[in-house]
Amino acid sequence: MADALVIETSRGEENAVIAVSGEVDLATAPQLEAAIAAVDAGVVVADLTGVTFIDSTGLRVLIGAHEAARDTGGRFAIVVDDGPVTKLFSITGVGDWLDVHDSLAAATAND
Amino acid sequence: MTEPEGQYRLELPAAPGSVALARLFVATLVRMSAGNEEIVADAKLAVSELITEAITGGAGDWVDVLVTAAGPVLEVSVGPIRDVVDSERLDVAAALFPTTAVDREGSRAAFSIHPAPR
Repeated sequence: MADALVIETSRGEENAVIAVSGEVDLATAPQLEAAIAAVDAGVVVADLTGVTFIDSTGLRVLIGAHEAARDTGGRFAIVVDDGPVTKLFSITGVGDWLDVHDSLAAATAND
Repeated sequence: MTEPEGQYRLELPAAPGSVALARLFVATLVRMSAGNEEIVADAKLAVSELITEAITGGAGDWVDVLVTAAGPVLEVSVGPIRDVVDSERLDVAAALFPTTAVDREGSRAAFSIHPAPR
């Protein structure tokens, strides 16, 4: 019953952008995980500015994607605004080591 | 808006889809007690963590959320918490509400909310 999670994936020359809207929790996190896994790109950017709620189940998906990218020489970047994702990052401290940006332009600047 | 008094209990199937319902239930009661959306957001996150812990910890077929309004304080209790599968979920709840505690004997986790005045 979480707000439907809407995921839109777009491919560019150098990267793929996954735009996420809605709530990420135990019910919807598998959908996000599957969407990230389905992208075959060296650089994946998750635009989470449309996320209205996220808990640690969703956070696990992001951490897993970051680690998978690191292990394969790729990159998993995250775009956030001053909302629930940033709040959870702040509480858990993971924002200090995830590749987090405040705009899509900043996230893709080095591609 | 009428502030809640007494106890409110929501029993849910121990399934992933119930997590959002638990959030909605708690958010509604917290909003009735406080005009502070930040506290509502914090309560939603905390209960989401605890109910997820209950569901993934082998609660059985049902989980429940119990909200007790005692004067200006709301106590939110979730159970049953059979085994603590992921203490990080509890850590998130505790970071938001330092009163978060697990009563292993009673198989419940709870936190208290002291709503800010309107």
